[in-house]
Amino acid sequence: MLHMDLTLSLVCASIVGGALWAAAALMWRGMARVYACPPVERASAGLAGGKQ
Amino acid sequence: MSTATLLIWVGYIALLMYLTWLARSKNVLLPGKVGAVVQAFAYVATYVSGVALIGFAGLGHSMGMQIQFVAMGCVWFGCWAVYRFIAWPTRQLQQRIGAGTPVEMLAKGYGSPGLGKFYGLLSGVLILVYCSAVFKGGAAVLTGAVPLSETQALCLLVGIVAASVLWGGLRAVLFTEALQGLIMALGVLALLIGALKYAGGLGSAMTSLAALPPTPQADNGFLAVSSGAGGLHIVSLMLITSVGVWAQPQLMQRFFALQSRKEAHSIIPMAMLIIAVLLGGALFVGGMSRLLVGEGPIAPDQVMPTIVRLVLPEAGIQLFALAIVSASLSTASALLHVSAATLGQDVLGKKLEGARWRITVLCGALVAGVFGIWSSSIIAVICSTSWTLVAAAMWVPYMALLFSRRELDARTGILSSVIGLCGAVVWYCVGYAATSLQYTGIAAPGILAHIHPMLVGVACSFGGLLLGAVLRRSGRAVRVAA
Repeated sequence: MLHMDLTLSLVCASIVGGALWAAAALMWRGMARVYACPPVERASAGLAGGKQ
Repeated sequence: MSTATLLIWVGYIALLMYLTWLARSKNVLLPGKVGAVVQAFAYVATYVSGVALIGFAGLGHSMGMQIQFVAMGCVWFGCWAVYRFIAWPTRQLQQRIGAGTPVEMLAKGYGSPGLGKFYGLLSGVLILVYCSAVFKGGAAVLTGAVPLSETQALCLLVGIVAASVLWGGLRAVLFTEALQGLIMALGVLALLIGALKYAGGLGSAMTSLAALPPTPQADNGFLAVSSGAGGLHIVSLMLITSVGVWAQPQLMQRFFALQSRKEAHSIIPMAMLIIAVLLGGALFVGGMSRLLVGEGPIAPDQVMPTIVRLVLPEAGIQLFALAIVSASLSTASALLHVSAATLGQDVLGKKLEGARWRITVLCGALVAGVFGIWSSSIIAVICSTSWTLVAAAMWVPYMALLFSRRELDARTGILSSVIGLCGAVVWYCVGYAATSLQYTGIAAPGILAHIHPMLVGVACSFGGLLLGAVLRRSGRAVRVAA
């Protein structure tokens, strides 16, 4: 990968992988928080999909 | 200096002081309730100092991309493992014992006030030494951005940090660190984009780096791990910066703000993402620095400031300088706070409030500042020596206190700490070739001479812990027989 030897490729992949995993976990948590709200709260917060 | 630049710096200092005023607390030693996002930014900002962004990234000029080992260690061992396994047990221990400082927690855990004084003196002094290196790194960058001499820049930084710690206590330190963490992330992103653009893109940079001839410190090239002593050196560096720092009092103190195990786990992704961007980005630029500043000899501490001037426009230079100064200020605030608390409360046994707290902080700031001006050593070396000695004395006793199911007595703690510290110091003097050849002219044979003193110190400390356990058991057996 990008001319790197195997060990260094794994090291770099683990940094990028860690960052991607962390970003995905944050997005997942954000989504879970939004959809955990009752529909009226979502609608009043300006989020689509809630029944008024 | 243009008016815009002056306004940026004055605005930055004013914002820090305003935040300090907003978040100031009555108890200067305890953080109170602080949100998870602020805790994540504050932890990373304390962890990643100008030392990492300037000192370790500068080592990339001679080591190449191997320096990314340090970033990997910090992401996985320094953040994920810490908040997954260590942070909450530390908070529980602190609450159970009712300790105000990390050193008090360890001393009460082992039931030994003498051990507290020993830890307090050792970590308080070594933290001030590390703090001086942090001030030095920040001052080096500040002089490139504003027309100040290094001594003037250092005095300015010491003044800002002392004011923030004096005025606001630990809670204000956490909030200012969070802001500084955000600025650091923006600055490093700007540098990464600028450096990749300068090198002609990622693919082109990697191809050029692969074509560079090997050197003694990168004997398999700049995109491969070195064999033998070089490889051992980079793995040691990773262990010191990511596992050795677990016993750093200023990082332990960050866990005192946790409210629950769930909160500790919720900090993990945020902290990992910030540190991956910060260290991954800065060390990547350091690793490709040969393409940017050339192959000629250059002092490690000058690599990053030179790159910044090369690849960024004036606004970018100011942003990166703000990032590095933020990194230095955030770490230095944490270091000054914990060393003042440790030396004042744990060593001198004084309750730190009012004038007594102010005098202790000012004395600490003065010592760190004077040492920073006086010292001429490489920043990364000062920093890793300080971390090594603290880890050799405190890492094993701290881990044992968190995870051992057996009762631990004062003698076990003392044996573990003293033997660990002595092991590391002796290895620095007679075994580790990088230092022992200067001090005593002798070194361990072959590859053994490249084993880092932290590993030897921690191994000796573990041996001391086992010895303490054996002595305790044999003492109990004698009492039962009698």
